[in-house]
Amino acid sequence: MEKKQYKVALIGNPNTGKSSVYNLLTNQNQPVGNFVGVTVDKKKHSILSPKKRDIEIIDFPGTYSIFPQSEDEKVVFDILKDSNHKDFPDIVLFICNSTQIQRNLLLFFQLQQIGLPIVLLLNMTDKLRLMGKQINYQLLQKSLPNCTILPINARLKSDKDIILNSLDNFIENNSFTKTYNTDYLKNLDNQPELKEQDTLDKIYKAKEIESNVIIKNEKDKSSKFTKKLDNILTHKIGGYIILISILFGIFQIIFKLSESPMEWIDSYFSYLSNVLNQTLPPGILTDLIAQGLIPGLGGVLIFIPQIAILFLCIGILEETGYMSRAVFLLDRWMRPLGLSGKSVVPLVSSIGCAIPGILSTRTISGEKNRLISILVAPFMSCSARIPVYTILIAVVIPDVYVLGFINLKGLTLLFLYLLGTFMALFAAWILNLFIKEKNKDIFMLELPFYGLPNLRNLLTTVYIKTKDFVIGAGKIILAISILLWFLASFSPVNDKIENEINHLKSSNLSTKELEYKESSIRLQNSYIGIIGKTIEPAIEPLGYDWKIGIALITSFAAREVFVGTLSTIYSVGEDNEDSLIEKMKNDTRIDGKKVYTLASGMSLMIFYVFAMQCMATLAVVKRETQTWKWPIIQLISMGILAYITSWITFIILK
Amino acid sequence: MLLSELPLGKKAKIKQLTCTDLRLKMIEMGLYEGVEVVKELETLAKGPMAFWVNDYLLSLRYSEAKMVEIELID
Repeated sequence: MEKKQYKVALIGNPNTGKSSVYNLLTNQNQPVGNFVGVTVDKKKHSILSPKKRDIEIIDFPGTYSIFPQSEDEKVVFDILKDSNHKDFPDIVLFICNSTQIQRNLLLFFQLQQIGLPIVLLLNMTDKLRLMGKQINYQLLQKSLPNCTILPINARLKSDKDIILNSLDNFIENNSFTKTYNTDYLKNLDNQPELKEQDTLDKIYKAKEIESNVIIKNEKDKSSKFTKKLDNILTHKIGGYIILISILFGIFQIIFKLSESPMEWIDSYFSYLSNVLNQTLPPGILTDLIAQGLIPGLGGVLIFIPQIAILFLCIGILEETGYMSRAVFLLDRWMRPLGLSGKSVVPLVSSIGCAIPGILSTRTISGEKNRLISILVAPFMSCSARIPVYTILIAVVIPDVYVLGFINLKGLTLLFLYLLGTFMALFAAWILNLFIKEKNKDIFMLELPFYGLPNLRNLLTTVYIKTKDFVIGAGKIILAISILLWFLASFSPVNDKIENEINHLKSSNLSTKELEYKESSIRLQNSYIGIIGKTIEPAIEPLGYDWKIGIALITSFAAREVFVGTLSTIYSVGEDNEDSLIEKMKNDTRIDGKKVYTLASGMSLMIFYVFAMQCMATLAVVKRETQTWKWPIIQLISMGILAYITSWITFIILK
Repeated sequence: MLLSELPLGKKAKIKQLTCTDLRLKMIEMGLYEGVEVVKELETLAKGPMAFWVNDYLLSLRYSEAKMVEIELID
């Protein structure tokens, strides 16, 4: 009888092109999964086969063996040891790196022993050809009689149909009535000697097959290229210079390339806001949309170019094989800090967003090293801080050049990023003194051959991550903008407002000044004004006024809300078309002094460098450490640190 | 001789693994008795090093490479 849905698992070693196969099969228009773009957890996506079968593709994290050594590898083991698990597959699509048949077949034989039906996809045959080798497919099929073998190239679109057709065939010729030998895993799990013997047996078998089916006929060009490149890129000294230059270069690219698209988006949103203001009938709803929502959303959408380019650069580092070299080069210098070389990936990814960064710590096998990596990752300046830094820099940092050519604004931004990175490393060093080591960290890292990135993978990652950012931030901003707008537009003390305004009108101010004072009185006596005034004493030592206080509070949902909050607060009741930056520059306190000075602006930026203002990250830390203890410690200690350093900054610069 | 002492560019054959906790992972990564390795990369101050193992590049920490006994091949 035909089943309703077939679960097809993608399993294979790391660096076999597994993600490419997943992206090829699913087309990635509507990715499913909790945190997309991260291969440390499984991803799922339903598709229809050519014969209209409902197929659920499950992408598992890459692993060398079924017996796990780190958290990401555990995902595979936990599901396959239980044939009643909801993700236990009906069919395995085993992705095999053709250049590494022996090592790859170990996992293959382990899956076969469980009794899983397997379709073997021989990927990267082009690389094998570059190595001057060929596979004798008939002989390989003879050696592995019970599975379908399919040479593919995951970069070719046409191979999608080949894979899916063979899946259809496979389903038609299979009864799926097998019982599974999951006891194999349970029995071996606690017996190291048996496990070792079993592994060795399978490897010897794989070795024999490899030596039979691989034909060497030409000179190896592929590893020669990698060797030559490694001589430069992982050079004992030069390697570090190149590494720093690459990171610095990425930083430059992000801010240079995104300049013009950001201007386009900015002008589009001002235009949109104006058009709406003029075309919609005047009233509360129009105000809410044109003054609350649109500026709030625009404040964040403007950062799409920067975020997309950032994720593109990180993707290129990973896809080309350079990221592993960075891990290799930095391991020695990360270990005294209680980190592993593998912490480089989470820390660099956290420049994009701490959530995928924290998830990628799962590849670190030492529990202590992993915990420290998780705890310090939020110090890395993530893309949500970009909007905050950019706007504050525009408001308080003068447009001057240091030494004649270094833009002070750019220099400030670089300083903030370096400060975050320094703090991450320093905090790691402190934590290293207090956290006890539970198990030894295993490094053993494959350095893949250098290669050109797969464009489809790159664009998919960039698209998904940017979409995640926009939707995630969009939802929070939408909700908070509406709430803030209401709180800012209504007041419990209307009589008091009218009195004060009447009083103002009797004085001889110009119309413009009158209007300004009037809106300021309305805002200060609104619900939000009253809340803000209540908390003002707590933040006054840092140099902030009550409006910044409100933005600080809403930022604890997510940092980028800062800009949306200020847009909403500043636009309520004011009809002038100044940009937010202009409004912030011109904002004054009651005593006539500017709200945003170098001191208060820098103090605020420092606060954002250190404070743990992201609910989503806290939730992920809780999930990954399995206790509320660590996220709470993060929230409090980073908060205290932020408060103290901002206070000191303000005092020094005042 | 230990794998950690192998000079750059030299080839060696693995005699035995002297660790208990890393054994399985080493075997899975292709390091077991009789396998030939060539040292390809090293870093400063006893940092990680990388070896060609059966046509792929595997990097190990110094402390990990110390757990492998080898025999030099000319």
